[in-house]
Amino acid sequence: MSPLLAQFQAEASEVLEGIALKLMQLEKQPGDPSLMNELFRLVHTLKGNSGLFDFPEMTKVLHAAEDLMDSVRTGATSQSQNFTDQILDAMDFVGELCREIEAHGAYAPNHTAKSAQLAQALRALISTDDEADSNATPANSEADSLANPIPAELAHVPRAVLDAARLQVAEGAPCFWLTYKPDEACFFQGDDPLFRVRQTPGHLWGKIVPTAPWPDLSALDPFHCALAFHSIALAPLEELAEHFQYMPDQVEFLALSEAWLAHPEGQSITPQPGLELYSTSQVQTEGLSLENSQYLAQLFHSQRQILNLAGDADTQRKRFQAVADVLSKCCQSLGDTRAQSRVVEACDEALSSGSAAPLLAWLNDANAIVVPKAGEAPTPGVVESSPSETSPLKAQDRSEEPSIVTATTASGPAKSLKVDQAKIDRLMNLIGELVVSKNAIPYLAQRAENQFGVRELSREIKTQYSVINRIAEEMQDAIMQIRMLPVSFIFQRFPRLVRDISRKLGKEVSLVLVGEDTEADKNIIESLADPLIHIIRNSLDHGLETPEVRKAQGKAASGTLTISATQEADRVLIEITDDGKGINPEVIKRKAYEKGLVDEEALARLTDLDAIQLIFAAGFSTAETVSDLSGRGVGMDVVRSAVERVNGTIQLESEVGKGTRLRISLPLSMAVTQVMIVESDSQIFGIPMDHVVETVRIPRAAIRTIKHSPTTILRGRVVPLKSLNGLLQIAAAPKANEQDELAVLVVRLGTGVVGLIVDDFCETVDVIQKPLLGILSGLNVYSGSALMGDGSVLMVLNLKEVI
Amino acid sequence: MSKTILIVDDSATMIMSIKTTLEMGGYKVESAGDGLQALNKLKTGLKPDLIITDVNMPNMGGMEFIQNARALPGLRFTPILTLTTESHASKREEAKKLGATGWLVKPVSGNDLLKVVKQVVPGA
Repeated sequence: MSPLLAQFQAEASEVLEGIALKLMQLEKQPGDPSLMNELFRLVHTLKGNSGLFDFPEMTKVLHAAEDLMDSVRTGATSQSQNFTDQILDAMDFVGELCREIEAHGAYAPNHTAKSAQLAQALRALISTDDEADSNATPANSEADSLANPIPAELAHVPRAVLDAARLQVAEGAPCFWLTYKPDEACFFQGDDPLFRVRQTPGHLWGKIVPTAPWPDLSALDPFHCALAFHSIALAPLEELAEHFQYMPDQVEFLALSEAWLAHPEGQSITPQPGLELYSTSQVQTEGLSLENSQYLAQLFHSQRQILNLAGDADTQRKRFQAVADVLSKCCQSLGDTRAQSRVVEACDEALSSGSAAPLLAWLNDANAIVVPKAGEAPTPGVVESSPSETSPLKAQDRSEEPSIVTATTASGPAKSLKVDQAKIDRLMNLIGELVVSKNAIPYLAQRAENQFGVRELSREIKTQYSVINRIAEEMQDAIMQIRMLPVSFIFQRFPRLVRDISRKLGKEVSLVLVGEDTEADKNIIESLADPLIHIIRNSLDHGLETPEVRKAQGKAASGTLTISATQEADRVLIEITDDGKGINPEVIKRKAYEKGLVDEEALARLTDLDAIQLIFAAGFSTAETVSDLSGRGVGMDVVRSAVERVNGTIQLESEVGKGTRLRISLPLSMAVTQVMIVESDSQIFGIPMDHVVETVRIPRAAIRTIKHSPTTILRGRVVPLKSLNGLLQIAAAPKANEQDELAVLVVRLGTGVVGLIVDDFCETVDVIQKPLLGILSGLNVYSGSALMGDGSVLMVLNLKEVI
Repeated sequence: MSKTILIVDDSATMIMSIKTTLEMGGYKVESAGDGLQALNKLKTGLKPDLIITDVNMPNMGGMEFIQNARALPGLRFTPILTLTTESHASKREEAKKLGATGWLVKPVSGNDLLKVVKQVVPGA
């Protein structure tokens, strides 16, 4: 896929999500002009981008959507529910195409019908008859210009130019007389009229004249354009019109016919005030003195054509005179006085007889004498010579260009940078390794002191370590930050989801999103998307009631679903609350019993709170009928395992008739785990700090036995005690210190706390947990292993399984 | 000296497309994501020979940008082209009134773009 297409893909998916979001907001605040404009802008951008590629179906639909939106934006069409539906449909279609493009580089050719249908549906919503694009042709039509009188300025055009033009016209080339009166303020619109005129396609000749007499110098405003341009251009009208497309009202085109160019007045040329552009006069004067038989042949050729033109007697006479004048001057400059006198004779003859024959005879003669090689000279040199004036400059420019292209620097600092996730993951792994390997340094310091007895060196190593430690931690933090994403990344899909589902179910739901800018690690956010969608589906399907039921219960017809995200210390808390019918513990209990998930005895002991937690049990589904929305055989157990996979916890509270609240707590990041190292029976174990509440030493005397199990009372709270040795089936008894106090690590488990009796506490370290592989993966009591700084392996306990 | 062209568009795709074409034509290209960014660039010393701006942009749209840019010293005579899919003449007139030199209609082909740029960039 080309980089441009990849860029298009990335931007398109962003824009599509933006459109969906804005549409949802717009439904809540119909007619909000700023939202409407924003929405229009997004569709407009997407349409513009799609036009860069050959995706006609996509562009077609987007174009229709844009038109509809424009119509709604300007108030010509009212915004209806149907409007949102149609736009959403269209965007879904575009999204589908985008996915196909992403997969195959192009989409299948079978979308034409669908696109036409969508575009039609969109256009059908536009109520007023859309005004046709007022893209009028800027120039007068040729027919109009022919009706115009011959421009007086034509008389002042050098004859050689006219001849050259006439030759071209005779051969069927288009030729136009241009009058360009730039706007007086044109300089302030970035226009450069002179430059533009010089760039005119097929530019043959031009003249600049002041539009009004020049004022006194003191009154002259140099920023005021008081000039008019006259030009002759040998180019089709369309090309000229395109060249002057930005100033159609300032330019007039007039097609020049061959007759006009033959300057019938036969006036001799008098110098005119004004500055000529590309005057071809140098060819006329100096060209002849040089060996330029071609030019002469051409001149004669044109004179012959003039003589052959039809016209009334008066015009003809003037033409004879003009031709004779030209020919006589030719002879003069060639120094051929004999031929000159014969021209005069021929002219007199022609004038008296009213026929061009004598002059034509002279021409035939002269042709044979002066120009032995019949100069057909189809391409007049004059035409070519004019543009060449600028060509040296151009050539110079060109030669510089290649080196400049390579020297082109990237544009200024971008606001954001898109980086392949793999690169960041690599950084993340590397920093993880660094964090771990830096832990080797304190061991080194210890060895320096204990083994080699160099206390000084040990201290220096420790100082150095603290520096490296600080930098590594900052770096880790910085890399973590890169991976942080706001939860809005997944939250923004919800409005659409809720809208679609609630409409399907015929329920009224208002969705409230809180704390969308709360950030968490990308992986965590992403792993959260599916569980959250499942939860939302459940809430809408089973939780919230239909409007009729709600009204009957004295609730507002529209249910409320609140999804909030907050950060608490190093965890992200996500709460999904609905004000629906809640979960009835009795129903859950009955179901669980029917499904054989609990036995009768356990059922009797279950509290209501415990009962509703049963919905997290595998294979539990409360829906009376399986709908295509939520009950798809997988239940809340999938949600729970997804959350637990990223070291998250999930809690459920519900009150019948009032609603349900789900709390999901997630770590901010999952790459590096902080673990506390504890010692038991001379072995070390890691315990994730997420679970650790506190470490205490409890005198053996303070341990009591309640219901056959050891317990202690910590700040007025009963804490059950468990020996780690016992749990791991290690025979040794817990060791106490000199004061006969036992080391107790208080850990959080679910909603309760448990005291773990260990031999000793050690430090906390940052480790990268690697899951156990192969045969060891069956050991549930360990969540993973980690490499310590001294090269030893630390087993990290999975407390949920252990206790 | 190659000529510098400033592209103002909120779509990175559009910028990439135009930038590639112009760079192949030998121009130096700067870009900005909206009118405000572009204005800041112009205020901090960027002196482009031509500005091509989108009309519909967040923060500051093309119209407002042209108006503001024209008020900056040294930018009174710089050609500014608007780049838009809107073919309505009223928009063009509005842009011209605010000081735009001309317009390009999206999607603009590489050749057309270079042709128009040659028309308006003096000495290109």
